[in-house]
Amino acid sequence: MNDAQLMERPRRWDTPFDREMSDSVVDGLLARPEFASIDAGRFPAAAPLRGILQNDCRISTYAPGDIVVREGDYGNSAFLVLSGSLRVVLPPGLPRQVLGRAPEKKRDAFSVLRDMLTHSRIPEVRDTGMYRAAHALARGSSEDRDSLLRVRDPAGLFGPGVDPAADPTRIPPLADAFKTGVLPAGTLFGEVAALGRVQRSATVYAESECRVLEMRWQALRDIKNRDDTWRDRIEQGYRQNQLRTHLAEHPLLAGIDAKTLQMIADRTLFETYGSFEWNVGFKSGKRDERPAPESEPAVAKEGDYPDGLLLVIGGFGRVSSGLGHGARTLTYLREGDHFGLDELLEAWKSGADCAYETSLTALGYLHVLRIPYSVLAELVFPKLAPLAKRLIDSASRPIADDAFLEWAVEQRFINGTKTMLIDLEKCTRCDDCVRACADTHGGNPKFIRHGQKLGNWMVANACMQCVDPVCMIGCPTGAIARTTGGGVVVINDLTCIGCGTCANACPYDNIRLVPIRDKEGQQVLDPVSREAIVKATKCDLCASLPSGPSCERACPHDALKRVDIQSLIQRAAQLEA
Amino acid sequence: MRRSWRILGIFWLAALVLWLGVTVLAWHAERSLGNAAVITGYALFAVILSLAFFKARKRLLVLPLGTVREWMLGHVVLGAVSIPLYFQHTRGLWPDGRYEQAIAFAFYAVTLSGIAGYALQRLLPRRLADIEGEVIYERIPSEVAALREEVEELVLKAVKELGSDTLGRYYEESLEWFFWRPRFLVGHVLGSGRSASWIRGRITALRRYLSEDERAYLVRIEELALRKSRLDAHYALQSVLKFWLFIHVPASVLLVLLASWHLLVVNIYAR
Repeated sequence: MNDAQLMERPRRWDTPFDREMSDSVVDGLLARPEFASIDAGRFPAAAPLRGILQNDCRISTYAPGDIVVREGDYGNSAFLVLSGSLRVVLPPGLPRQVLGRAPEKKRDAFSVLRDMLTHSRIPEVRDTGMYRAAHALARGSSEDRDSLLRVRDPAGLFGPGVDPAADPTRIPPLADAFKTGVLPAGTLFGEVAALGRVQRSATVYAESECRVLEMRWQALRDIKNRDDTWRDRIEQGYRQNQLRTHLAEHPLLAGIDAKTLQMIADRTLFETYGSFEWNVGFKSGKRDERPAPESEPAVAKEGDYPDGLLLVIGGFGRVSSGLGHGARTLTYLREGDHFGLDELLEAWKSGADCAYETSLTALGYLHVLRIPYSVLAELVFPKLAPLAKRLIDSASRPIADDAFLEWAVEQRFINGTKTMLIDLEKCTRCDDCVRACADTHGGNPKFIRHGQKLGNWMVANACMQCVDPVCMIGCPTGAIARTTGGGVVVINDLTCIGCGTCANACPYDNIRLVPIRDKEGQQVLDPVSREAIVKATKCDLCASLPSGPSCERACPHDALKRVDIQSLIQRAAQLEA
Repeated sequence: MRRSWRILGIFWLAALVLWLGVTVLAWHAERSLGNAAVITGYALFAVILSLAFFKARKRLLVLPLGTVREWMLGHVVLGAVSIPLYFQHTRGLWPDGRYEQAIAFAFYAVTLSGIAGYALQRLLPRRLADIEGEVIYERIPSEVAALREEVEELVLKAVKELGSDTLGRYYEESLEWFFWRPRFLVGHVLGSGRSASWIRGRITALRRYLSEDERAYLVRIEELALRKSRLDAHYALQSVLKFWLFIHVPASVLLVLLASWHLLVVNIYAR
């Protein structure tokens, strides 16, 4: 225990995306027009353009029919088509079964039991040999890709009588039921999902053999920040592609035909309020001294006249109304919600102007689409079903019932989709939840049964699986990422360099940096600085277990729940109603 | 919540059927000049073993055998069923034989501690939730030490700054005892509020001897004392919530061992 093992401190590019990215391959990339126009002098010496291409990018070759990205996946890479052609499947996309999603790798009960019985009693023990093996591992040489040629029902996809493998150089077009668009050489795609930390909005497959440059989002971020052409290209693509998708997916616009939708899209404005880096000020406690929501960026003010419907496509917004000398939070909005419809619809029906009944402010950042009133009156309202509930209706609830919502909004717990909420009136402090977590994670619990408290409710320091996982911003190695299937944010211990970027970014202190030990229990130290090697660790929602989060299953008193705060608030409101 | 009640209802129904089945079989055996104690004994032993498996189940979470909450409800219901089964088997409160008395002792220890534990688990968390702040049990000693350090620094500062040792003397005579370790544990468990009234009494008694400047320090000391009192309350209540298991679990192990040997001996001599 007293002796220490020495290990070189991990660095950003210790584990490159692909070891086969040789100098000549990078030279070839730098000669392409997409990169030749970039001023390499604007990149810092620690992360030069050449280094980014060499370490944060890889070139993959796809055979006709290979699926490059699938709709609904979470991905941390963007793609640049180098040669050949790909096709994107436009909404409504391919049925799930056609995509042939690979099952998530789940651990079986036997392996969990074996780990439980054999794990070390010393905390945070790692097989340090695994890190060396990971560094030595060459990636990208043989990947088992899903292909449209291997779907169960090719006739359903390509039409009856079509043999998709008849021409080995090109896959035939999909059946008429599926709409596709071509992505020729030079196209960049997947950047919205990679940078916006959202699901892939469409499936992309190779039409002919093609070479694609896959760029980790860190590479995309660095290039975007230092080259105006790339920044404009990414932002333009974001606006064009996402706008139509968001409109098509919004429930208010369901049933509207593609032509009308395009007309709406042409006249829709894209607006962003607040700051993407909301977590920095939130965590440091350096907040505006004015009370919320006055201190928050205003999107719409109570009493002003609306000129368009606001559709929330990202971030969070607080809906409030004045009460006494302050403002009362009525609800909060997130992706898929809208604001201003009640007033605009009333104005359309009555023919008179109707002012906003409530205010909307950005909690952190808020992306909205503004559909002008004239468009709504002409294309949407005539087909709109009567509304069941108005936003202002929430103002009729007793003021005493506001406490939980105000707390959840103030502390930004609204960001969590799997928040660990403990009912302290039921919790006997037995710590069975902590033991269960430790049992399923090699003896190392991934959360602390402690946290913010309001009355009998406590939000424990466990990763909440945020809608906006700011912890993923800035990871230099891509070690923190969402799982492909469930979208759970997990940390890859092999590629984590313990830089602490994620832990510092997490506004809720739910990521910890732990000093690691080798199998003999010796502390692992950096040979130069003699400082401990640390790794980031957090709740992974037991993503590898078929049974779900162990903490929740282990609670004998039903006191611990993993909840989406919004559904909890909605349920409470329904119960009150 | 509703799901828990539904499961509890199913468990009670199943337990009732089990108990009625055993009772009918025992009655039938007795009418046929058989030994009813064999039936009630085996049933009781099976129930005891099932109850004992609860602890193992908590560790073997990965097995797809329902949640621990469901097992907990089953544990409570089966525990309740074991009581009539025990009396049907022993036909009295206290058996005659020494070995049987040992089993009875273990059974009563398990049962009574179980009932007490169940009641405590229902009552004390509510009391804990009402206390301002939340603290992990293992951290309480270090939090108490930190508070003690803070209050001692404050007293020293007051003495140095104001040139009067009244606060220092009073701290040594009276408050040091309080800050040394968790106090008034019984009072906290019973919810008597004795700790807070003790603090108020001490502070009031001292106030008349202090200058205005010293009183400002006393206000801060009172805040720290009340914080310490809340920590003590957490310590007392969480200790009780843990302590009952130190009777229940060892007694359960003893009961399983004694009952197993009893079953073996009875079977050997019955032949």
